[in-house]
Amino acid sequence: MRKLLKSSVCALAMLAAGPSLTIADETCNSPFTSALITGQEDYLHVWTLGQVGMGDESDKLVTIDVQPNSPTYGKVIHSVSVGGRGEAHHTGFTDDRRYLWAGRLDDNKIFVFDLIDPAKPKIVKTITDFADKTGFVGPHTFYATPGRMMIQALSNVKTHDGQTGIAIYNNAGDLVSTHAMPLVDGGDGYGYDIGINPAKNVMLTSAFTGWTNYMMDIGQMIKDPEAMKRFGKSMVMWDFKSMEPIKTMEVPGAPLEIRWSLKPEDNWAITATALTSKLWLIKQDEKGEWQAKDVGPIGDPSKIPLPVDISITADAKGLWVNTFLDGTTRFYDLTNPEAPKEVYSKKMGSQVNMVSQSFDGKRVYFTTSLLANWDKKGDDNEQWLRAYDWDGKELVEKFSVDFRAANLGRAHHMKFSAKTKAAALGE
Amino acid sequence: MLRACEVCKFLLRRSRRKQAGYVLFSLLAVSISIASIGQAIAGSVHPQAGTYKLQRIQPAPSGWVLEDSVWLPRRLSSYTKNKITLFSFFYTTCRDPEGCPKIWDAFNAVHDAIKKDPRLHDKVRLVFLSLDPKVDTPERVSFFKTAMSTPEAPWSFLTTWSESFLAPILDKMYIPASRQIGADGQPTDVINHFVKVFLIDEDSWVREIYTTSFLDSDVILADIQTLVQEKE
Repeated sequence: MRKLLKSSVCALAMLAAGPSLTIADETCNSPFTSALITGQEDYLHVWTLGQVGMGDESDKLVTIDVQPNSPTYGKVIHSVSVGGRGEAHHTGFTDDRRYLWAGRLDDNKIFVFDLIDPAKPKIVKTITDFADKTGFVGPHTFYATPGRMMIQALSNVKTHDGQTGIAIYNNAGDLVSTHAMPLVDGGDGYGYDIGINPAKNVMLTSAFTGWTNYMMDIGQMIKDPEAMKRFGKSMVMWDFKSMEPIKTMEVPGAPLEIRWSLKPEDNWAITATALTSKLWLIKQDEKGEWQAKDVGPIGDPSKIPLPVDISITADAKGLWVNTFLDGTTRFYDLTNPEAPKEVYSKKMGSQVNMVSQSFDGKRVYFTTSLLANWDKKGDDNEQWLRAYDWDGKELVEKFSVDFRAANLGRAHHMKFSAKTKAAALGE
Repeated sequence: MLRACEVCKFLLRRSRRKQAGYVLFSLLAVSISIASIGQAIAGSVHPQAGTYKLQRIQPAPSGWVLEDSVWLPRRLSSYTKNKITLFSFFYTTCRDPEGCPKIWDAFNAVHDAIKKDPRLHDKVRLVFLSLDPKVDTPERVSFFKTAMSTPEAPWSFLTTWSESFLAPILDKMYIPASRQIGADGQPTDVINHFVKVFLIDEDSWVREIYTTSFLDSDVILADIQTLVQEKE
């Protein structure tokens, strides 16, 4: 008997096939991820940290209906607790967009959710031996490549400092290979994010800090000069095919999220440094060599606003930048990526971390949690998801979900999905 | 281009269904015209063959397939070992220019290159497996083998008894495939599928996977040459 599937995968995979795949999806996923949602997303999945005294206190994947025509628009419609608190952090779709991998930075568990019915994600696999098999700690970035999941770790099992590497798994969840971050030719061994430009056959990585720091109370860490020295200060350009480093570039102050311009003819990526509060452009010079360039401050760097997540528009002409400590989002005009201009800012709350925009840029979603021990305390520990419309001039709030009031926890990473109807072969 | 036209005429003569023949003709014509573009823009940013390692990603799937006869089932593994195999899925009535024709494009270019390079003769095979066993009978897909396969670069066109035999193979290869639903709520003959091409080594391990937007025949050939050098 045929089974009608409400799936974000099957039919959309076909609709999205072709050159459009080369420009990534919803502006910041791997360019190898299929099923680009160019229209209205139906669901938003929020990887949420459990919090003591809140609900079941467990990390969970929370699904919210974001289809404006739905009777449950703006409501939590599903939640899957994964058991315990292990510093839930980031997620990533497999290349076929059927599965969502979600990691925890403390206990190194990786949960694989099946989104065949995107309204009701279910766990189909838990990887519990990531650290044992790879020697790495803190599975952070989940970046799909064809048939595989590339995982950038933050730390290692021996020292728990920032020396780390990349692990590659196949879609079945079996380890394929590991690749240490370079320690020669200027490499500091740190890791954070991955960004691949397939047309150039290059992979760019950034650098954060190790387990000892990201699991430390932020107030304690800031007062510890030795701890503050243990942050990455470089970015590495790799040959993607061979997985060999090409060049290490000095980018002081912990460069975090990497966003390649999605325009096929472009040859640049942009990042933000957390500690020095700057935007950096990574671009080929006239000789074709990759160079990193400081292209301007974010807010007032002397006040340490702590830039966190960034999101580039599909036309590469705009960039959202969140600064955690002042709870502000900023929009930059990237028409000239060599000289970004802040053209809008909005105080979102006491803290803000992640930002995700729809492919058309008309809808923007924000969440609040950075790390359990880095989030603010007391009433300043606001935890919410908020959805906005963006007309190029003003963010207009559409709905908000208070994760504290709903006893859900700390709202962190977001991913979109969409439903469609298709009949799977053989069922 | 001459060869493409000859193939199309051959297929049209042989096809019992004129409409199906038209689809086959279109598919081949489009694929070969695109192939020339692909060769022209092939990237030089990739490393030279033999200077990098291709990881063992996953075992090639098992299953039962048909080639020449509905009465003679064969193990899929017999098409994925002892030679380097370039493998993908297709179906003969595919109408999406961004779907199967892109795979044809890459396969045609690789096939031509193998024929021209004696070092690759008898070391590489190409395999297509149909996503539509109801339409793509062994008799129907055998037209393609007759037209395309050559001794120095064999090209097999496979199908299965039914979708229930196909589905486990798709699952193992992580290929979402489904029939598009029509306005009447019923499945149509349009099959939505995630286009992937698999490079499989002599020991039946998948060593590289290419998706539709990043299919570059020069890169595939470099990977094939890398696997050949690995054994030398």
